[in-house]
Amino acid sequence: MESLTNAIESVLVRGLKPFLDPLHGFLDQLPPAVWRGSVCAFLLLGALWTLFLSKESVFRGCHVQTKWADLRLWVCVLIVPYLLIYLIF
Amino acid sequence: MGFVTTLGMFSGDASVLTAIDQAIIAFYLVAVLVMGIFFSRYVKTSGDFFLAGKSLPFWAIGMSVVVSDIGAIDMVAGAGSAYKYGLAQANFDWLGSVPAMIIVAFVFVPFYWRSGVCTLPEFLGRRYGPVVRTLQAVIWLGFLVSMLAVMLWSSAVFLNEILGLPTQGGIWLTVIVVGVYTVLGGLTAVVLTDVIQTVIMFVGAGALLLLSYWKIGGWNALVTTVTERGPEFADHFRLLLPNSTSSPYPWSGILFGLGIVLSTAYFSSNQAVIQRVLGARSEWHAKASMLFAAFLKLLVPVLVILPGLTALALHPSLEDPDRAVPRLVADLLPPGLMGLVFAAFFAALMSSVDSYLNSSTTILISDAYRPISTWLKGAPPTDRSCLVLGRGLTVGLIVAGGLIAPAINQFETIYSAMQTMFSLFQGPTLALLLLGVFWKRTNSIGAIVGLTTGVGLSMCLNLVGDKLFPSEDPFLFIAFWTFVYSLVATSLVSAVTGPPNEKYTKGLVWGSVVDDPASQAALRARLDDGESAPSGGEA
Repeated sequence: MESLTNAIESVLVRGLKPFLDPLHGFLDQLPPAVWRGSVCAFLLLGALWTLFLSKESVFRGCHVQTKWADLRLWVCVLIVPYLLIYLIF
Repeated sequence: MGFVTTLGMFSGDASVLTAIDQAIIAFYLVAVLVMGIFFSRYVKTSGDFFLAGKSLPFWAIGMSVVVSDIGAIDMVAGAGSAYKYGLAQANFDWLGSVPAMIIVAFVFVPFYWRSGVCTLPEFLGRRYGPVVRTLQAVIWLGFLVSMLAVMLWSSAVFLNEILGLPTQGGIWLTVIVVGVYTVLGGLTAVVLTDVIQTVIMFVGAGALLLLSYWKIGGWNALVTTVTERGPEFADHFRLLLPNSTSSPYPWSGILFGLGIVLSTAYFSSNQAVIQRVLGARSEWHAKASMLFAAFLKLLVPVLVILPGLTALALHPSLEDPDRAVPRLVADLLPPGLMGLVFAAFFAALMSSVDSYLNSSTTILISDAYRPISTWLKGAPPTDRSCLVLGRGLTVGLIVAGGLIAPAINQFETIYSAMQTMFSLFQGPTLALLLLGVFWKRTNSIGAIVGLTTGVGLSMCLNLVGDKLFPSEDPFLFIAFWTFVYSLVATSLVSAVTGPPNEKYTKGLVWGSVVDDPASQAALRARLDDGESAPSGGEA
């Protein structure tokens, strides 16, 4: 088992370290504002794309098509507290 | 800290349980049992048993998805992690759930709903052939059945600590209570008992949090007390930690590994989630259930993670962080409320057991019995035989789980290995799922190569990951890179080999589902007299 681990280590670590080390070095240098911005952008993008879905697709299976049954509205409401949490903490 | 001993943390605290606490726990168990028997009158077909007769409202599914996701061990170990690493642990319920749940609600739920499949192995089998289906079914069954035995053993340890029941008695009490309502009531009983269990969990955990807050003096006092403990606690109230942190949760791992890969893989492929949303009364309810679950997820860290931080303020020198919640329970809760909190822990355990049980049976029927029976007899099995066998398998699985549960204590490494193995499949499985849904050119050779070599790479990285990634436990980075690798490998192999046969893509790729008569026939059979089959749209 140990020789197998050593063999894997010599191949993988030698092969991937030159690629991964500069990447992690770059990530290490990024300031907290960039971490926060990236996460908030991910949350926003993860929610806002639903606004481009067709009304028919969103309401499919809903018998009473009021604005309160529009799931796109609820996605926007849902994402606000999460954005606030990641902006504050 | 091993899973078996986690719940045994309440040892010694049991002596403070009064008669009223024990009566609350007993009443809760009887109430759950009666509910299961009551719902059995609605189970007439296999569709009623496995998909709750397509009758579930979004709020019940949403609550069930959330409570099944939180086990009693998570309630103890999650607070323990928060005690050790701080608020960053909450990322698993916030960033690690919400974007994935939105994607699942609007991409995968409509896709599963409209293509007429019931399990992930079934979809991957129709898309990539029997090898991938069998591999996926075996992976999922192995995981679900081992977790079933683990949860039964955890229940026994828990009941031994709080009620003094012998472990064998605790195992069989859980087998009987969960077995009866799951066998008789099927998915309806599982989901509706989960609703009760969610309320009990939220009330119990909320009471614990409020009392601990009251003792500390509020949020500001909590932050001041913890951060003044020393420089190692300076980041305890930060959600995002530096990339070079020694904790397992650097911000880049949280964003790429958890937010993009692990959470999407979990919510899009977990049989417990898929089955619940397919039991919804309409496609709209199925989608809304995921959004409602995402709303509830907002509260989960407040109830599960923050007690770990309040324990740090009140008891800063605990040698084992997993003792945080048991210590708070013993110190703060009055008689009556303690019974409620213990009922909440047992509710979390039972909701996990019923989910594993119901999902395992569904995979066995959908991915083993139906295809084998069709192959042998040349025709699909009757609905009656699926229902009878489904109930029989549920009994068989929980009895088998009860029989092997005591052995789990001696084979803790098997459980750990199973958990690790399962996590190794997440990245490659998500790559296969995404390519299968969105790229018609993906073929079975590419899928088999992408899955097997991706899992192989996961295993290798798991052995040497600490030398490649900054974190001491780099599972988030491993999940991300194996996902990227499987995405590239599957695409490349598919591109250089021939295009898939039309039978593997027709009605199974984004944009073609509604044009395929077979998918729509399956959909109509599933919907019966519910909503009409879709006539257009994204899928």
